[in-house]
Amino acid sequence: MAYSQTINLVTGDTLPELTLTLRDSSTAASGVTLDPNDSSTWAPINVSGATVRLRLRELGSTTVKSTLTCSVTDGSAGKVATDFPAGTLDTAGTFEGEIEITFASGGIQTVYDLIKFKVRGDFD
Amino acid sequence: MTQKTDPTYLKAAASLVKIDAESSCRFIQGEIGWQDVLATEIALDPDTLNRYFRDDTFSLTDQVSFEQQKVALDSFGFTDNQTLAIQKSFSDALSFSETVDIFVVIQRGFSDSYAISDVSVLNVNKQLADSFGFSQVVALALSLEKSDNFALADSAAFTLSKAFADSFSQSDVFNRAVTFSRAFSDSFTLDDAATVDAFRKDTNSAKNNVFGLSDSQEFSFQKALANSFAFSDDQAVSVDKSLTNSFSLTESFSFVVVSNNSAVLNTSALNTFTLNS
Repeated sequence: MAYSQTINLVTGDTLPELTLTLRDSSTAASGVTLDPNDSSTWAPINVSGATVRLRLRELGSTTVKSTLTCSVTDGSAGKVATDFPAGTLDTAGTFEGEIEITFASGGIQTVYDLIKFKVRGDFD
Repeated sequence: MTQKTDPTYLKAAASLVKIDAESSCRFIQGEIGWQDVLATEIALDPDTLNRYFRDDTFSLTDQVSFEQQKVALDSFGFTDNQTLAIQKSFSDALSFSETVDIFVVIQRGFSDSYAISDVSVLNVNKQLADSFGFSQVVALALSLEKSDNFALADSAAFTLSKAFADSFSQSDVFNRAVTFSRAFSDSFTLDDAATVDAFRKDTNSAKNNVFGLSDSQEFSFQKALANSFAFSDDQAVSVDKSLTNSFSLTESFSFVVVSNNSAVLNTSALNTFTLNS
């Protein structure tokens, strides 16, 4: 399974805020030439009115540990953000996150690549 | 030996038909396009200005209240119309009549009734019924004659320190009559016949010697009954006599004053003065 990026976190934290930009890698952004290797040339996905969820589960497990509903900060630009509510990062370990978009029409599309989270235990 | 060969030359003629076919097809290739969503620019913003109110719960309740109230507002309007009629009055008649009927009836009925019923029922009915029964049945087979003597001596001594002493003494004197009956009946019977130097001697000797002693003694014992009652009643009456001893002493002195006497010898009566006094 391909991971798009690895995020390092510490247990018990609720911040930092995780920001995402959802783009279509097969569509060029307006005014630029599509470059498969340059995500800035990808057209953003309009997530206005959509619900973006980030589901976390521990690596190797099939049980979803928590589901975070992201806030749409810029829907036309495909920007969403979320924090980590209390209880989300309560255990240390390696987790993987899945992003699911539920558009306003009811359609659901899930990002294929996962995001890896490494959570270490804190001192207190 | 040389073998002669006769070569035969075979000539093969090959011919082929080259068929060339032209094929043409339409290669249809469709363009597949889909929205390949990728999450890009994944970043952590530690200094975000966004605020998440995930744990805040707000509840709004809408309560409809209808209050029906009857407004009883009665308005009374008074209008005062003044009519001025000016006319000439030929006669002015003023009459005041006032009839005051005062009819006051004060009825105050005091009817206080107090009923106090106090019934005290004292019913003291103490029934004292003390019955003492003494029954003593003594069966004496020897015909005991009993005689009870009761001696009561009551000596009352009245002094300042009175000591009441009641003494009761009871003495029973039992007379016992004892009759001994001893009947001795001893009977001896000797039946022994022995003939010595007789012509005939019986070898069978029948001896009937009966010896009987009978001694019948009858002794009867009876219980000696002795009842003694002792009553002692001590009353201590202490009368404290106040002892006051009064002693009176009287002493009278008599003085004889003799004056105008002279100790000179032969100037006064003899033995009336002490010499040289």
